[in-house]
Amino acid sequence: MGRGGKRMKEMTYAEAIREAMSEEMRRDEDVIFIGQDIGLYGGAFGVSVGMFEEFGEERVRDTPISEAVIAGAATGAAVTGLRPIAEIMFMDFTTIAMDAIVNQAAKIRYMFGGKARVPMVLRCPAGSGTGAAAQHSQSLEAWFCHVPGLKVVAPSTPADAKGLLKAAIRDDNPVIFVEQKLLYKKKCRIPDDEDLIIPLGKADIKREGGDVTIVTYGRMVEKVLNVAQEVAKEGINVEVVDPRTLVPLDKETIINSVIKTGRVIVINEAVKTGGYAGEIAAIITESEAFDYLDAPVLRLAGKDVPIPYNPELEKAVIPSEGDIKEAIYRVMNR
Amino acid sequence: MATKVDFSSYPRVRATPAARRAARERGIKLSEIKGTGLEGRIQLYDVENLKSIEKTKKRATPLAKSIAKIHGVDIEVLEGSGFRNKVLKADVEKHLAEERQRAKGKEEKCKIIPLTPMRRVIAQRISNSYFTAPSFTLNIDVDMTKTKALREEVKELILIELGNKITFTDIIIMAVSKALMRYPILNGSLIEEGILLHEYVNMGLAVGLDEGLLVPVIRDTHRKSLREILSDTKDVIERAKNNRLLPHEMEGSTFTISNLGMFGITHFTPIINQPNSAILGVNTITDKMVVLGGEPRVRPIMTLSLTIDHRIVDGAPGAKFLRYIKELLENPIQLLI
Repeated sequence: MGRGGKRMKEMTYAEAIREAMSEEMRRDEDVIFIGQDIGLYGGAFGVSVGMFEEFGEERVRDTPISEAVIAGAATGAAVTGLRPIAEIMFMDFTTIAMDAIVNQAAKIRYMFGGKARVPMVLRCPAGSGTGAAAQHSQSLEAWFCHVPGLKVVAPSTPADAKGLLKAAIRDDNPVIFVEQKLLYKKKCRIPDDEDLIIPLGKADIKREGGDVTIVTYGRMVEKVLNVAQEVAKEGINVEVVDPRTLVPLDKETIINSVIKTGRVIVINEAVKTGGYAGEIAAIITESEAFDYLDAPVLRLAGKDVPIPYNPELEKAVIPSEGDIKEAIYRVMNR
Repeated sequence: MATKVDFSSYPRVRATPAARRAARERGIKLSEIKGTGLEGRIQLYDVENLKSIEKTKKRATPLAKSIAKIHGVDIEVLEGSGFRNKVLKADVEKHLAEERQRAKGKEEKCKIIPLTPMRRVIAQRISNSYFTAPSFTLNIDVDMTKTKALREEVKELILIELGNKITFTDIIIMAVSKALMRYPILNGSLIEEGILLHEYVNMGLAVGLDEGLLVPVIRDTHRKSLREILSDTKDVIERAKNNRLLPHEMEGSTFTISNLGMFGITHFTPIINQPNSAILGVNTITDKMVVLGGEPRVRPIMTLSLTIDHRIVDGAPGAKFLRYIKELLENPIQLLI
């Protein structure tokens, strides 16, 4: 039994995503799932193992190796009444699907004056750390945040992944669902609940503290929590705010936290230039939190280079726990 | 790559927004603070921990300065009404006018007491009530024999249990709350949309202090026992006297009682505490000769003075209400029912 008397179970991030999809497909027969190798093979990362057997080839569809087809078909299916979940095996290949996503899916609802809806989810395994080099390791969420009409979600834990994916599937707008590949094997206890829905646009304070706010999402959350635990021994209390949904962004929670602590670091794995951390930083400095800032708003992000293949270099371009600690000392004036 | 900047050559002060805000709020000049942050940056910590805050020079407009100089006024003692408390010409002139008043007062053996913020609020609220509500006062004599006996009877018990002495006010609050539930119009407020009838009684209790008057509110007295009313009343009076009441504890009354009995007052015309529709003045209890069944008797008599807002309540309902309170106090056993 867990909190509130609810039953809890342990599962990985990948299993949580599978469970969210399967539950929604059982609940609503309009939900379908398409992508490359997601059927018989069970997905490149094993996320959809068993779904083909349960739901059959009509609802769990393997597609040709064409991301343009996947995104285009999903958009069309969504407009005509289905609720497709589409998987782009590597977020890097959304480049090929961009016209369908940016010019079609994101625009249709607006251009038809709200008469058309596009209830689709584009699941995008993303991020570095698997030794997959520059074309299979990128974090491109900022591109999609920049396009009005798209929602962007980036969960950091199995529980968040499940609750947010279910909310995304039930949403009537196109949702870009960013799954960092390194998170797939992370386990945690999550409520055993078919109604576990986490509304889009609601941040989660993963740790409370009064000295420094760190705003981060996805895989960086775990690193930040580790560092927060370490620096707590030195009397520095870090508050970790995970927005979970990047668009729409829960600005209020972020701003209130910064007003409380007066110091903030924004961290993302994606490259620094043009990254979403910069957007969050700008929102903070524009807000009423400005007058409470007692240190410059820091960004910590990937280096502005393509992800290297060499594993040591690959690690070096992403913010490390050491980098996070150093940034905390900097804003704390230590 | 960022190039190293020599900040010492910059004329502006380096300070964080938080430090600037704190300095602004405290009226401290940043240029007088030494920063402990990076490159001498002033942090919030530096402002908050400023050991000896040197009095900063008052800022004043040139015109204000020269007028002050002509009249020999010290700018430092003036309160500035301009941007960030800058002293303006008007501030100097106001000061001069006050000086003249004071001088005049001295000549005529008078003095002027400046209004305290509390006095100012009282003045404003009382005139607001007096000039908006056409009111009248009803008086009734109450035979307090049984209430007095009741008080004597429970006094010891309550003293042992609560360590407090029960007062007539406590019993009167209880009786009035009961009466208000029967005559809700007396417990109403005139608002834009009509007459707001409250389904509960929040009793305001006027507490006189040397420096003015406070009206703390005891909530939900209609469903409180005597002991609850008694401890709540003691508590708010105590804290009112020590200036420990929170603002919300003085808001939301639906009716008010003002007791001047301890001064021997026999009747008076209290002024309504808006937005209440009435106020009950409680007077002293005096032994009086009354005629009962054709026989002269000495009885403890107390007058109750009820001031009513005639916009909401007419004479007859007001009189019925007052008569009911009299009934309750003359037969306090009814309070149990």
